[in-house]
Amino acid sequence: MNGIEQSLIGGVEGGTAILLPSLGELIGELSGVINLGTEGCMLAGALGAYAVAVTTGSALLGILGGIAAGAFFGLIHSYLSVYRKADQLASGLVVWFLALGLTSVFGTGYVNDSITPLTIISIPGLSKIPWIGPILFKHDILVYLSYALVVALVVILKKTRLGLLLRATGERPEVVGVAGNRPALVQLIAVTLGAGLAGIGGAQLSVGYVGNWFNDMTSGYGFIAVAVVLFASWKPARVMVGAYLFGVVLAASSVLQAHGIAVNQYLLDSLPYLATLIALIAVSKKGGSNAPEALTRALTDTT
Amino acid sequence: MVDSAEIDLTRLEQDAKLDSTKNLLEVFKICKTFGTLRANHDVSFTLKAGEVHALLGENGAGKSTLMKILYGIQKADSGSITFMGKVVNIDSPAIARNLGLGMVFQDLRLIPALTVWENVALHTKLGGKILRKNNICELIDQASQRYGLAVDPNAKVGDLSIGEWQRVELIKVLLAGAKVLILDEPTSVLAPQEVDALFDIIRRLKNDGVGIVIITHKLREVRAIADRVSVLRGGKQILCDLPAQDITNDDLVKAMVGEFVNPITNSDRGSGSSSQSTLVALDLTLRAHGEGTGLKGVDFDVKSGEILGIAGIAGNGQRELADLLTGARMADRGDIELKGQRLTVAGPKHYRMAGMLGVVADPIREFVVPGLTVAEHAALWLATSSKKLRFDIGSATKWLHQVADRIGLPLAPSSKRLDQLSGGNIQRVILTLAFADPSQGLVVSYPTRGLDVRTAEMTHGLLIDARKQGTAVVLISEDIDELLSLSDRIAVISHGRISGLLEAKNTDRLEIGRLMTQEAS
Repeated sequence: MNGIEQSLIGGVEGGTAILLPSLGELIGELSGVINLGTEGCMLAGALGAYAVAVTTGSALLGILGGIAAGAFFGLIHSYLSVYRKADQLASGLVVWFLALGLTSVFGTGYVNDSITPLTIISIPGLSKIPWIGPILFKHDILVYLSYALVVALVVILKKTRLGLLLRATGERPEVVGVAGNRPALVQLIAVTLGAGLAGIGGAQLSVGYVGNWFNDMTSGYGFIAVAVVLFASWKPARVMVGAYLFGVVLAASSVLQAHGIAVNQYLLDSLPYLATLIALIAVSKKGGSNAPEALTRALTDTT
Repeated sequence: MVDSAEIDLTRLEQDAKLDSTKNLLEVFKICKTFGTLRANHDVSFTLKAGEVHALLGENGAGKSTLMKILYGIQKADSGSITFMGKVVNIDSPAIARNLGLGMVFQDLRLIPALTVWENVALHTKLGGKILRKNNICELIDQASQRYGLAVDPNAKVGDLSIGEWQRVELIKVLLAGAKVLILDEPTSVLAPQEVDALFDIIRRLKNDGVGIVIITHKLREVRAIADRVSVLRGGKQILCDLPAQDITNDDLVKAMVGEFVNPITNSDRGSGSSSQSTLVALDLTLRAHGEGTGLKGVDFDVKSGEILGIAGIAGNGQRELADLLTGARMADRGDIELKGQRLTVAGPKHYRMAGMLGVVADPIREFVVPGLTVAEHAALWLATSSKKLRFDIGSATKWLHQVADRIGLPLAPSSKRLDQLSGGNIQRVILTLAFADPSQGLVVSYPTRGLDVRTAEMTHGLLIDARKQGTAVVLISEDIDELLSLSDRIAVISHGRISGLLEAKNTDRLEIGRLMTQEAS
């Protein structure tokens, strides 16, 4: 196994922890609500999953704990920003800080615990394909779940009434209201569901990829997820590519260090933000942006 | 799949045929007050199947309130609504729609980022949970053919013209099963030819038994299409269910306004203006940003004591032109000269200093500072052309009162916050400031928008006075009648170009309309 292959395998594994929250963030943003608290929802998900896994001895049950914890913070964010009309950016940041603080307090007891992480499932046949097999088909269940989610999201957005309602809400919530639907409810559900996915992303770190819990263990993955959505200009398939790209960059740095090649850690840490900066410049050009029209805008009272 | 489509349209037909003698809709003694304002006081009207009922009234007469009540956006304090023989409680737009009431709003309610069929699907619940695109497109095509509403189901709504938007809106409402259509000022966004096409569509719908309420303040439309009329004024019912042929235009105006208002026209248009060009625009070019078409090499000159009308469908470059002529934006190419002084690259302040004033198109966005009073806005206006550091509210208030007395437009108290006033009140403040002192050049966008008939006529008088004093006036309007009666010459703008320059007294609506819709060559 060479360094490149290692980087790619790690890229999918770690990239999944970016992909899941990115898909969640995509759902929320398509409904018109940005969630800067995604990082917080991931942290909550990571701890929630770990705690349940330690208590029950089952990493699979842990995932459910992760979903619940992430969704809880998503519910706070959507209640504040949708129903209380709080500024979406401020509310998101509040959720991040809140989750950071609370997971530090409640997570202390779990720092030295150990769990049996999610088992690696090799897909019969497919995992034997040279190169592609180990990279794509020898992972834990959450990686396969993320594949399925991408496909499902593409279909739902393009082919179903639910997807249409979601996209329409993010574009013109007033129109959705006049058409007899409830845009606020759509946003609440979308954000909460998205935060649940961020929670699974956290679980992918704590009970999957890393198999441990420590303070602030998501170390910016949630913010990268927000950037990936922008980078992918709100298209699920591109979100997948973007997430793996970040995953590979992050994995490659560990591989390089393992091979004794010194890379400045701070420089690596700033890479995602550099990429975000480039993405911002690329999509900020007027007319080129694919952003939902009502993104970050509070609903008016007539809806 | 195809069956559901046919059922949908024939059901409409049958229901309507059954009811062609009875009232489809009965609105009885609707009352609605907001605080101390009586928006609707005992308002009633009836609508039969296959009938066009015009609801006439000035801005603020209570038409919109009544429509909002009918569509379940607002709730009436008292009164009743009977639909197809049953008293109904319309608490939400969803209920109105399920009953078969369809509303086409003035600001068309479509989502630009979605395609035509997606917009229709969103509104109608057609096509089921898993959207059957072909099914929906087929329904759209059927409705298109039946009513002459040509539109491509796969087109992105954001790429369509305003006329097409309106057709999509109609299809959407029809496919939702509307038996009663309420059209709110449907012609305000259309060119004359498009208006004729719309009336054709309305006639076809009528023949199919659809009941149509058309809200308007244009007598021309009443004559063209309405079977019966009702008139509101100040929230009260003046006329109810009168056959349209039984009333003269003069009586209708009297009913709307309360007295007869003599329309002010520019009697000596096209003559008397000096030969000297005061305001010259040369090759003005501005790239398109977001909405709007930008400008592509616009040339014109306005003489001292002349009104140049700018006609065109909204969004064809009028806004850009007004911005350039007041210095709010800078042209990518071209020149603007006022009395031989090149102003091209100067900021708004220099335009003001040089004697170039403007009445903005969108007061809420471009004029009103939330939180400031009327007097403070006057002081702000004065401060732009003053070198003094002191911001003198007292003398600004005094000045405003003097000016208001001279100009004669009724103003709200100067201590009121401007952002809390109605559109008409805001417009009167803007007009008072713009006409306070004689200017070299004046760019006026939609001056009578939101004004009642009397104030609108006073504003026309002010424009003619400015012309007499030698101001070069550029009048931007979508009201062709207004342009024809006031302008000396009319420049028609289409796709950011001047598509024609006409002598106002030698032209007519149709010629202007043709130029308005001329495609870019």
